[in-house]
Amino acid sequence: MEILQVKNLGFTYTGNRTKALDDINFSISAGSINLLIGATGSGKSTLLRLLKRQLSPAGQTQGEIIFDTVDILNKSSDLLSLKIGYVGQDPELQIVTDKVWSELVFGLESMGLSRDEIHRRAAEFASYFGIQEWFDKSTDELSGGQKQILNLASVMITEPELLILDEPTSQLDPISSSDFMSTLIKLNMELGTTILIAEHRTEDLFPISDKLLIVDRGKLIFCDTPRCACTMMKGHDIYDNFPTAAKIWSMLDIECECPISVKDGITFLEKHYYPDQSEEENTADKSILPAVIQASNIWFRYSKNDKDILKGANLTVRQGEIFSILGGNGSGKTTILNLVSGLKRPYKGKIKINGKNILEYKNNSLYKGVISYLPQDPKLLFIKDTVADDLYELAGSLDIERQQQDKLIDETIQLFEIKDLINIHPYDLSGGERQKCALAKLMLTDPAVFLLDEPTKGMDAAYKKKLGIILKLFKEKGKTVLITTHDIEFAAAYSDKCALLFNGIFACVGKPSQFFSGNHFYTTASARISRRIFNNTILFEDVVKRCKKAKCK
Amino acid sequence: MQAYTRIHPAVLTAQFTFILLSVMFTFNPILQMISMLGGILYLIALGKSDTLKESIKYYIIILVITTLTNPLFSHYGQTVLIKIGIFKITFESLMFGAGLGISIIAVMAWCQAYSSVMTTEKYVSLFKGKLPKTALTITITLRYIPMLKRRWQEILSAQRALGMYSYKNGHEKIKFFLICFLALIEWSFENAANTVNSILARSCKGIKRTSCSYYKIQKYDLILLILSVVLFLTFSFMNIEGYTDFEYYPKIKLQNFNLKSLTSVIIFTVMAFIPFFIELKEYLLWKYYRSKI
Repeated sequence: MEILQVKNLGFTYTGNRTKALDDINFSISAGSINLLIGATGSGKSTLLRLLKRQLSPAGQTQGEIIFDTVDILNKSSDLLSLKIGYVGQDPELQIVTDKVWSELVFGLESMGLSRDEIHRRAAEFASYFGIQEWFDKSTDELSGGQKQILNLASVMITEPELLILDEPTSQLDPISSSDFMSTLIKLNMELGTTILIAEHRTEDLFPISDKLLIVDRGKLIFCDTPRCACTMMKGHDIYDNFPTAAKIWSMLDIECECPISVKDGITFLEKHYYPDQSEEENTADKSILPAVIQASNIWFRYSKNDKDILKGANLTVRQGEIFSILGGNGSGKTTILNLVSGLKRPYKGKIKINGKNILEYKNNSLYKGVISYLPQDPKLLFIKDTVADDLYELAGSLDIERQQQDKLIDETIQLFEIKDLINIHPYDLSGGERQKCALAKLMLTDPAVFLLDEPTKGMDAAYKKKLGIILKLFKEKGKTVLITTHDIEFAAAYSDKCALLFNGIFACVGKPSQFFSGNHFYTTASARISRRIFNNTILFEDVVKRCKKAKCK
Repeated sequence: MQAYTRIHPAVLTAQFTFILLSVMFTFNPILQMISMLGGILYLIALGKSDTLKESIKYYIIILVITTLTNPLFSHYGQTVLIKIGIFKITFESLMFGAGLGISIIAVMAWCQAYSSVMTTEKYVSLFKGKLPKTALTITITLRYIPMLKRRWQEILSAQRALGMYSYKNGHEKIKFFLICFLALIEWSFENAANTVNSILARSCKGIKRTSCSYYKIQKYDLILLILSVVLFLTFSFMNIEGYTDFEYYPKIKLQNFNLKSLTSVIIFTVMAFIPFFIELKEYLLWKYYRSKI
C-alpha cells in the first residue's frame, strides 16, 4: 500500500526565478525504508520540508502530495500532519524545553491528551528509547547523540506513520550515529514506521533501504532499489556517496551482482582475487623537517575538581604536515586545539610553536601570521553582514597598506573560488560554502599553522573532496595543518599522519597506511573489506589499484 | 532520596512563605534565634553543610555590621556604654542591632534552603495548571540561558584567535566585547527561528494544550498544608495581639512572660522545626530499615 504519493511536484522559492524542484514524481509504500541522496544544494531539504507542511518554505508550489488519500498541499489539518514526523540535522536546534521529560511529552501536550495518558506514553517511550536513565536531567547536560535520540523519541511519541529525517547523523560522531541508526532500524522493524531519510553516510543505509531516491539540481533522476542504482548510475558524480564496496566494484569490470555492504565486499574480493600480501616499497623520504608544534607532557583539566582531560600528552607536528587527531567524544581533541592556539593553558607541560614557548608570544603576535583556528561552527568567525565586510575588517587590522589589502583579498577570493559568495550574509550560506569562506578569512593573516576543529562535520562527499584540495594547497605553500576529526575516511585520504587520542594521551601515532591497517574497528571501510586479501589498502583507490595488479580467479 | 522531594512544590512554597513572614514580623530575640536555628539545622539536614560553611563568614559579617551600625542611628536606651560628644552608644541599641542581624541571617538561611529544595522544574510546575503558556515560556527561557552562556564563550575564543583586537587597550576591549555581543544576538535570533520551527512541527492548531506535570497533591501534602496554615494563623493572631512583644527600649525586658507568650514560642518553634523534623524522620527511618536488612 502506498502511504505517500508525490505527483508532478514543483517548487520555486519566493524571489527566485529558477525552480528549486521540478517535476518530482515518486511514491513510498508503507513500512519501507527510503534513502534520499544528492549533492548539497540539490533540493533534498526543500523536498523533505515540503512534505512536512508546517516546515514548508515560502514559495510557489505546483503538483500534488497525497498522504493517506488526502492531498496535503491543499487540505491539511494539523492532526493529520502529526502523522508525519520530522527530525532535522542539528540536534541542538530542535530541543525546545529545559528538561528531558518535558521535551518528550511536548507533542502529547499539544495534542491535548489527558495527564494519565501522557504519563503512560512517556513511560513507554522513555523505556523503549533507553531514555529512563536521563529522564530527569536537563536537556543541556546531554551529549549530541543523546540529544538526537531525544529528538527522535519526542517525534515518535505522537505516533507518526511516516518519519522524515534530514541528515540526522551528520553532526554526530561515528559511535552515536550508529546507535541512532540502529534505533531507527528497530523502529521500522518493530513498529512498521515508514522512513524517508536523507543522508551523506550511506555505508549502513544502502543494504537495508528498499528504495533509493537521487535528486540532482532539483530533479529526481533515480528512484529504484539501491542495488539497481549501482549499475545504472555508473560514472555519475553521485557515485562518490555510494558505499565503498560498490565503488570498488564499479571500477573493476567483473560480471556479478554489485556488493553494497562491507560483508558483501569481503565475499566479492575473496571470490574473485588471490591474496596478495606483498610489501609495498617504502617511498617515504627520510628528511626530517623542523617541528612547528611541539607539546610535551601536557596536563589539563577545566576546573579544580574536574577529572584530568590530558594526562601528560606529547605531540610533535612537523612543517608541511597534515596531521589528524582522531578519538571519541570527550577524549580532549578540541582541548588540544584550544591549548595549541593559546586560548587555554595547561597546568603542567610546555607548548612550543616554531621553537618558541607559546607564553612568549605577546600582544596577539601568536594570531598574526603564526596560528589560526577554525572552530567547529564556522559561524563563530563571522560578525558582519556580508562575507566581504568580514574579510575587509580582518585585512584592515593587518599592518599593511590599503592597496595591498585589496590585492590580498582579491587573491584570496580567487584562490578559494568564493567570488559568488562574498556579497551574501554568512548565515545564509550552506555549511560547505560557509566553511570555505571561513578558511579564506583565516588565510588572510597568512598563518604558518592552521588548526581545524571537525572541518568535515555535516559535509557531503563532494565538499570533502574540495576541502582535501584546499588542504593540499596549504601543504604546498608550506603550511602546517592540525585537524581533529571523527571522519576516518577523510583522515585516511588526506593526512600525512594520524594520532589516536585516548585516556588523556596519544595512544598511537603513525602514517595513515600503518595507522589504519593495524586497527580492526577504527579503520576505513576499504581496509575492512580488503584486509584479508591485501595489506595496507586503506582507500578504495588503493584496493582498486591492487585488484588490477592482482591475479584474477 | 530526601523527604522534601516527595512534598508538592506548592506546599513547600506555602511552608517557606509562612516561616519567612513570621520571622519578618517579629522583634522577639528568642523567636529570631529559634528561626535562625531552625533554618540552619534544616540546611544541614538537606546536606548543604558546604553551602553553610561558605555562608558562615557572611553571617558573621552581617551580624557585626548590624550590631555596630544600629547605635549610630538609634540613641535610645538607658545603659550607656560609651559617650562621645552628643553620641552615646547604648547596650540596648547594640542588642537591637544584634537581633536584627540574627533575623536577617534567619531569612538568608531559609532562602538558601528554599532555593535548594525548589528546583526550576518545581517553580514551573506551580504555573503549569493555571498558566500553561507562561510555564512553556519559562521552560524555553531556561533552556536558552545555558546555551547563550556557552555560545558567548565560543564567540569570545573564536574572535580572540583572529587577533583583531588587543586585550591590553581598554577602548579596544570594550569594542571587542560589543562586537561579540552583537554576534551573540544575531545568533540567538537565528536560533529562535529554529526553535519556532521545532514547536510548529509538533503542535496542532485549534487544540487546547494540556500541561503535564509529575507533581500531584497527596494526602500527606494536604495534612502538611493544613498544619502549616493552622500554625501560621494561630501564631499571627498571637503576634498581633502582642503575646510575643519584646521591649528593647528604654530597658530590655520581656513583657508579661506568661502562659500565653510561652504558647506562642512553642507554636513558632514547631513551625520553624517542622522541615527539619521531616528530614530527620526520613533519615532515622532509613537507618532503621537498613538495620533490618
